[in-house]
Parts: sequence; C-alpha cells; structure tokens
Amino acid sequence: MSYRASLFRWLRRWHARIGLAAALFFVFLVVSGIALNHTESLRLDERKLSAQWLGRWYGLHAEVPARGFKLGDRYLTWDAQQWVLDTTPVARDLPPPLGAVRVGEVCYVATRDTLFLFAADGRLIDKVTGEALPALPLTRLGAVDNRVVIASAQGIFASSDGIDWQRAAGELSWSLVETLPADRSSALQELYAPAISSERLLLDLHSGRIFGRFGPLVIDAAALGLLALAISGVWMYLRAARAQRQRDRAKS
Amino acid sequence: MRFLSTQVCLIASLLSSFLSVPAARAEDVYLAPEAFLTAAFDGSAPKPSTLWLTAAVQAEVTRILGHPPRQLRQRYWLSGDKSAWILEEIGKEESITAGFVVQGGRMDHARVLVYRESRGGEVRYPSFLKQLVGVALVGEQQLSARVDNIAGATLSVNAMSRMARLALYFDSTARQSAKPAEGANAN
Repeated sequence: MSYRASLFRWLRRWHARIGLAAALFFVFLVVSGIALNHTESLRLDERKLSAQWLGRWYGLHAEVPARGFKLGDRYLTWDAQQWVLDTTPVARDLPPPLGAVRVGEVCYVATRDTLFLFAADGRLIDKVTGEALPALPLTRLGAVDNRVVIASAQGIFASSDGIDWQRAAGELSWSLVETLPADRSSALQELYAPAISSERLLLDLHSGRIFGRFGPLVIDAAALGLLALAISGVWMYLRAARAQRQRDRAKS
Repeated sequence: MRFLSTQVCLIASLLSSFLSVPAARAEDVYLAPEAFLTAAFDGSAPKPSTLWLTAAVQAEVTRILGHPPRQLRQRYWLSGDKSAWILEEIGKEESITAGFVVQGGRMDHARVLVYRESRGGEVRYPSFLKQLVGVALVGEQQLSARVDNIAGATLSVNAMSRMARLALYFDSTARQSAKPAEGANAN
C-alpha cells in the first residue's frame, strides 16, 4: 500500500474517532450556544436556580441580613444582589443603601448618587439622580415635616416629591439601620438563598469555567478537535473528489 | 458533496456557538443627560414636569414596550411646543439611556446618552439617529417612517424605536393631560 493511501486510511480512522469522541461535546456546545444567543426570548437571565448543591459548587452561602431600614411597619433589607422591601425584591445589582425613609405612601431609598422612590407595593416610582439632586454625593437620608431630607457636604435639603428641593432646617429625623425582629429574619431565608441564573450556569458550562481553571482548556481541546475534523474532512473530500474525477476520465 | 456541506454547517454552527459568549460589559457615556437638556433648550433647560402613569397609560406603555413600565412617574422637560424625554430601555441585557426631543408632535432629534450593552453601540451614530427625525405616531402607536436595522445591533435598534414611540406617546399624553388644566385656568 502506498504512503498516501495508508495516510488516507489513518486519517479517515482518526477523523471518525475524533468525531465520535467529541460528538457529545459538540452537540452540547451547539445547543448551549444557540440558547445563549436567545437568552432574552428564553428568559434565561430571569430563571433562577437555587439548588443547594449548585450553591455549594459555586461556593455561595445564604446570608440573611440581620439588619435593615424600618419603613413604617415594613423593612428594607439588602445583600450584594438585591434590595428587598419586606418580602418583595425591588431592585437588583445596586450598592448598599445609605438610608431609607417612608414619607406618606412613598418609600425613599438613597445611595451615594441616586434617590429611589418606591410605592408601598414595591413598584419603582422614580429614580432621581445627577443634577436633579441639589448636591452629591449624598451622605444621609431622613425626613422632616412630611418631606424627605437628604444631606451632603453642601448642606441639607428637603423635598415633598424628590424633584423640588429647598434647604432644610428644623427637627430632622435621620434614617438608621435597625436590627430585624427574629420573625422577619426567618421569613427572608428563602429570598436570600443563593441563586444562579440559568444564563450564568449555561455560560459557565459553555465556556467550561464551571469546572474550574482547567475547564476552559477542555473546551479549547474540543475546539482543536473541531479544527482537526474540519481540516481532515476537507482533505478527504478533495482527495475523494479527485479520485472520482480520475475514474470518470479513465472510463471515458 | 453532501459530506462537505454537512461539515460546513457543523463548523458554522459551532463557530457561532463559540462566539456567542458575551463580551465584558461597560458603560459608555456619550452625552450627559444635563448636557442633552441644555442643548435641547438652547442653553437653559426648564424645570422638570412629571407625568404619572395611570392604569390606562401603563397599559398603552406595555403595548409599546412589550413589557410593563419600569417606573410609575416619568419626568420630562417642557417649553412651548417642545418637550424632552430621557428614557431607558434594555436592548439585550443592559439598559440604554436615550434622550428624545419632540416638537409639535414630531421627533425633533434623538441622542444616545449612555450605552451599556457590549454590542450594538452603532445606534449612537447620526446616520442611524437621523432616521428618527421628523417621525410621528400613526395608527396603533407606530412610527410614521420605517427605521432601518443595523446588522448586529438589532436589539438596540428595536429598543431605540420603542423608546422613540414612547417619547411621542408620552408627549401627546402629557399635552392632553395639561389641556383640562389650561381650560380651567382660562375659565
């Protein structure tokens, strides 16, 4: 058998072996890749997975806040991922609030650069930031005479709607963090259980990162396998096509 | 031949799946909201007004955006027949902040103020934004002119179109709700 013929046989055998070994990988990469291209329509970012084993795998632990801001008969609590008004998540991926007060039916929550207004049911009314605030950064939040009050290095300002601000004076009551009653803390257990979005899980599986630092290398190896398949497949096709042409010429 | 086409399909879909990993996100501020307002009103922006989203308005906003409004009160700036709106809408994963100036019921101009998506930032270019100039609402809160897509920025283009429709709808709603008050003042 000629050298080229034995090389062809060897290549065909390995083409099949690599294809078989990598088939499951490729099917998974294709399916997960297509899913990741449609995260919005599949709502993968909204689907949360909170299985305990998954939390352990990611090294996440439930940390139920022990303290919060009292807003009338309600409490605002938070962790690194969310703000929760009683048991209603009201915001995600925000820094810890520096204060929260309830004025009438509106709950005001402040960070250093933004004042959030929430309705009693937790729906966002407005988000006031930038030059709509009289001074930045905010340092404290409080209330006086049925108005919300913010403090900054430039002074203290009060407003009845979060838009019109005047300098404030008088007996101000500042928002303070309080220890949560025991029954509130236990009610928050489920809400603060660590959760991973389906998108994050799929992304980590797709990239191999979920398996630690060697995971991406395994995916790289699968990608190189694909490259080998592509090259060997094209080469074998061209060789077979040329052989067919030679046979056709010989017949004619 | 079938063997080769199968290979090509497989390679194409795998490359697409490899490439689908999102890039890092960043926030690009192209124009500060305050600067947008100052420019919109020739150097001096009026005080903000507020539009409360009643149940009827919320229903219409839901129809325009395809999801309920994210906030119940919308601030806007009004001077004569010109109004300015700063709106936020998610393109694919992150919100786009855009400013719209409506004059006489038609879009005067639009600007992308803050862009947070990893791809699709081409919607900030004048070549795209000029398509919105002069558009009005027709029929069921649709834009009067077709907005051409940008390849690779479809979701951002859609978000900009939705916000443009919303700004025009808010403008007409704010003017309608202001009319009874004007009438009462005149009496």
